[in-house]
Amino acid sequence: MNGYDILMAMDKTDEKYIEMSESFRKTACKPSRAFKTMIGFAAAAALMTVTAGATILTRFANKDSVEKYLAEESVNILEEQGLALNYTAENEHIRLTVDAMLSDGNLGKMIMTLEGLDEKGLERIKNFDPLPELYLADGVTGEYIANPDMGGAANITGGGHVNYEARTDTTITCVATLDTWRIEVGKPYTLRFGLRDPALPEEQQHKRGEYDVLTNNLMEGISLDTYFTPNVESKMLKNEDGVTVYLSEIGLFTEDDKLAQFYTSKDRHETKLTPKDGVFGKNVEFDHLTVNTDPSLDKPKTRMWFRDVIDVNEYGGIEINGVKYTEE
Amino acid sequence: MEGHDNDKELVELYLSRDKSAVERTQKRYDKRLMGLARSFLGDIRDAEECVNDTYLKAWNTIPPQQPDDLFSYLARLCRCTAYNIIEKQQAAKRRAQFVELTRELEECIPDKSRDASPEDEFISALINEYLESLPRDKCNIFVKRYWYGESIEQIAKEMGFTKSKVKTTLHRTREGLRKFLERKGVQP
Repeated sequence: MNGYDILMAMDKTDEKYIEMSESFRKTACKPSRAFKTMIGFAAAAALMTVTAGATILTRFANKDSVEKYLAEESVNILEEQGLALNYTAENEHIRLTVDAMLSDGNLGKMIMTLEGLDEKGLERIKNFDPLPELYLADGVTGEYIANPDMGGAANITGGGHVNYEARTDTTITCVATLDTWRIEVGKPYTLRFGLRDPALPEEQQHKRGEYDVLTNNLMEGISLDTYFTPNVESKMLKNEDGVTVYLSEIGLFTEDDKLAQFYTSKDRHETKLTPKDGVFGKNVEFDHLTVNTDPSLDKPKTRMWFRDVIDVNEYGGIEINGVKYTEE
Repeated sequence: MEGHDNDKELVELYLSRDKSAVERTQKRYDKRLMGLARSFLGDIRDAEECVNDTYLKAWNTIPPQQPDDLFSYLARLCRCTAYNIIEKQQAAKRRAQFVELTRELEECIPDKSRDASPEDEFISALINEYLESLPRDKCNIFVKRYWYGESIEQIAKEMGFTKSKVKTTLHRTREGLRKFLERKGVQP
C-alpha cells in the first residue's frame, strides 16, 4: 500500500464530508490587523463584500430554532454572507452546534444550539438555564487566559439570552454576547464551554485555580478553535464634535467618556438607527448594554449588542440622545 | 435555498434529456471543475479533457443517478477522471502537487502495511469512519487537501487560518489516521 492508494481510497469519501468541506468558507478577514485600527474595519467590510459574492450560500442546520431568535431578515443576511457556521462538537452528555459566530473586532455574538445526548444532558437542557459559560484559552498552549473584567476568570461571556421558544424535546438554542475588544485579532484561541452539573450541590462546584472554570462540567472536552477575526460589516460614525462610535451588524461600540456617562445614567434615551433613505430614525432593540469605566483602562468601553443582525448599508448613521453620528 | 433549487432544475434537464443541460452545467460549474482538475493535472489541456469527460459522464449517468447536490456529483466524476488520466501518464509528467499529496499520505500508512495490497472498499470505509471522528474544521481541512487537492495557501485563505495552522493540522490528522488504521488492524 502507498500514498497513492490512500488517495484513491478517498475517492469513496462520503458525500456529506465533500459537501460540508465545499460549502464551508469562513468569510473572516486575513488575521493580520490590530483590532483597534478602524482601517481594519473598513478593510474587513470591503473584504466581506468581495468574499460574500464568491462564497457559497451556507444554510443553518438549526434554522427553525435560529429563526425563533433572529428575525427572518437577519437570518437571510447571515446565510447570504456565508456566516451559517454549523460547527459541531460533542461529548457523552451534550452536542453543541455553533450556528453562527460573529465578531466585529470589539463585540462578539454566538448563536448556538445544545442537544442533550444522555439523561444528564437532557435534564440540564430541560430543567435549568442552559446558557453555557465560555472560557478563553490560548490556541497554541491551551492555557486559560484571565479576563480582567471578570476578576481574573477566563470567562468572556458578556451576557446572553436563552429563547425557550427555540426548544424541541432534546435541543435548545441560545445566544451569547461576547466581549472581544480585549482579544488580539489574528491570534489563535480556543473557546471552551462550561455547563454546571445541577445534580451536584453548589459547594461542590468550586473554582479551579484562579480561572473560575468549572470542575464538574457537562460540556467538558467541547471546544472551538477560532481567531475572532471580524466577519461582519461595520462602519465608523462621527458627530459634529468628532466623537466616534463604531456601528456594526451586531452592535455599537464607543470609547467616548460622555457617551459612557450617558449610557450609565438613569435618563438615557433610546438609540436610533437612521435609514439612508428615510427621515425618521428607528429605535434599536438591544440584547445587552454594558459600560466599563475601570480606571485601569485608558478609555471607557461602552458596548451595545443588538437583538437582531442589521444591514449597516441601510443606515446612514445613528442618533444617540438627540445627537447624530454619521459617516464621514 | 438558491443553490439546491438551481441544481434541481439542472438535474431535471438531464432527466428529461434536454440537451441544454450540459451547456447550463458548464456555465454554472466550469470554473470550479477546472480548478479541481488543475489541482491534480499540470497540463491545462489535460484538465480541459478531464472536465469535458466529466460532462459526458454526467450526461450518461443522469439518469439513473439523481444527485441532490450536483456539484459534489460532478466533482466526484471529475476526480475519478483526473486519476484515470494520471494513471496513463508517465511518472515524469505527473503534477508536482499530485506527487506531493501522495507523499504526504504515505505518513498515514501503518508500517506493517507498506507491502500490502490495498483493499479499497475496506480502507475507504475506515477513512470515512475516521473523518466522522474528527472535529469539523480538521475534517474540512483534510478533505479540502486530499479530496479537492487544494493547496495549503488556498485552504488557509478559505478557512481563515494561517498556513502554519493548516500544515500543523494536516500533519496531526495524518498521524491520527495512521494510528486509527493501526487500531483497526490494517495488516499485510
